[in-house]
Amino acid sequence: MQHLISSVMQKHRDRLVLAVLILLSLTLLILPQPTKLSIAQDALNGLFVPVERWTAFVEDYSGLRDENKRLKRMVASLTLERERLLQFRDERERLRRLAAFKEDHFYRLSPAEVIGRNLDRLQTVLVIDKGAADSLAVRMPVFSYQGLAGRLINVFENSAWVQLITSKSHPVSCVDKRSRVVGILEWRQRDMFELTSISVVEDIAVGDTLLTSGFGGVIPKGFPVAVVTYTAPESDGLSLLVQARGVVNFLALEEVFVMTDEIPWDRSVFYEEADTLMMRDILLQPRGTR
Amino acid sequence: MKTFYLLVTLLGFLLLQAILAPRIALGAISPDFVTLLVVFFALYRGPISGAILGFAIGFLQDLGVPEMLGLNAMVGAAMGFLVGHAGQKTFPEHAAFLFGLFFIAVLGRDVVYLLVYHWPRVDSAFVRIFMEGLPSAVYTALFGVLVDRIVALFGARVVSIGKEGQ
Repeated sequence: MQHLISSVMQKHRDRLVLAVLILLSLTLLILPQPTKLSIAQDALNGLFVPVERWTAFVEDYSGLRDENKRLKRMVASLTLERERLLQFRDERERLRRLAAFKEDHFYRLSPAEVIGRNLDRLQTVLVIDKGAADSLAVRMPVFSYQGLAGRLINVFENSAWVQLITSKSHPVSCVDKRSRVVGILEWRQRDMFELTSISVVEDIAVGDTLLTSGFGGVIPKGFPVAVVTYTAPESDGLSLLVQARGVVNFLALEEVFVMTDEIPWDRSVFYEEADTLMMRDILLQPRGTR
Repeated sequence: MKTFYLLVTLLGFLLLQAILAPRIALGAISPDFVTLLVVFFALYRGPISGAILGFAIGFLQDLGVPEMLGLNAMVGAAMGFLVGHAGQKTFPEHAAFLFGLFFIAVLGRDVVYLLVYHWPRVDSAFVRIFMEGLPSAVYTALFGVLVDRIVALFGARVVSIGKEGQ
C-alpha cells in the first residue's frame, strides 16, 4: 500500500503540487475578510513598503524640477483666487449667521505622495507615504486636485492603502450639481460609472456634474466625482440608466490629499495666515534658488 | 550561484512591473511583466516550479487587494502549471509559439480573474477583457518575444525544455 502511494505520488507529483496550491488558494479565498486583511497587512508591511519607498524616490528625483515649476505657477494663481474666495467666505458667513444656518466647516487636508501601486495591473489600490503617525485612520476620504479619489482601507505606521472609487466595493452617494437629484454612483469599468436608483422622471442630463452628497457621514458633500455622459430609460420603463465618467485621472495619480479633520470656518483663519506667509516665501524666492 | 541569478531575475521583473510598466502604459493597456516572469520560469523549470512561482507571485499581487486574497495565487499556479507542461510537449524556442504562449497566458489569466472579480456583472468583465485584456496580451507577448531574442543575442537561452520533465 505504502509502495502504491509512493508510486502514485512520484508519478503525479506535478498534479499533487498543483492540487495543494489550488486548495491553499481556495482556503485563502474563503477566509473571513478581517483575517484576509490581517494577513495582507502583515505581509505588505514587511515586503512592499521599503521597496516602494526606494523606487518612488528614484522616480521622484527625475521629475522634481518640472513639478516644482508647475507647482509654483499653480501657487501664484491659487493665491489670487484665494484672496477673492476669502472675501466671498466672509460675506457668506455673515449671510448664514443672519439666516441662522448651522455652522459650516472647512476641511483639513493632509497631502501625501503615491509611493506604490498594487503589482496587479487590473486592480485599484494605491500605497501612500503617510500613515497612523500622521493621524490617518481607516475610512478617511482621499482626494486629488480634480475630485474624490477613494478612501483609506488600511493604515500602517508610515503608509496607508487607498482603495480607489474605481472598485466594485466602493459605491458613492452623489447628488446632481444642477438638479440636486441624489443617487448611488457605482463603478462599472475603467473610468466609467453608473448612477443607480434614479427614477425615469428625474431631471438628469448629459454634462451634469455629480458631487458627493455627504450622506452617510464619511465623505463630505460637494466634491466632484463624475460627469454624466449618457442617459436613457431602462427596459423596465421605471428607472433611468445614467452613465458617467470619473473626473479624476486614476491612472496618473501622483499626489493625493487625505481629509483628516473638519474645522469651523472661523477657526480656519489660523491656516490663512500660515499659508499666506508660506506662499509668499515660495513666490518671492530669488530665481537662482528655485 | 543559480539561486543568485534566479533572485536577480525575480527582482528585475518585479522592478520592471513597478517602474517601467506604468511609464510605457497606453492608458489602461500595459505589459504584464509579472506574468512574463511566470511564463519564462515555467518554460525554463517545468510545471512544478512554474506552479509554485505562479502561486507565490499571485499571492504577492493579492496582498494589494485582500478582499480577493487567493484569486491571483490560484490563477498564477494554474498558469505556471499549464505553461510548464506546454513547454515540455512542444517547441518553446520558436518565436511564433512563444508569442502565442505569452498571449494565451496573459489573456487566460485576465479572463478568469475578471470574470470572478466582476461576478455576477459579466458584461463589465467582458468589456474589460476586450478593452484591456486583449491589447495588454498582445503588448506583453511582444515584450516576451523581444526579451527572449535579446537574451539569445548574448548567447544565452531563457527558454529551454523544462528540467522536471526530463
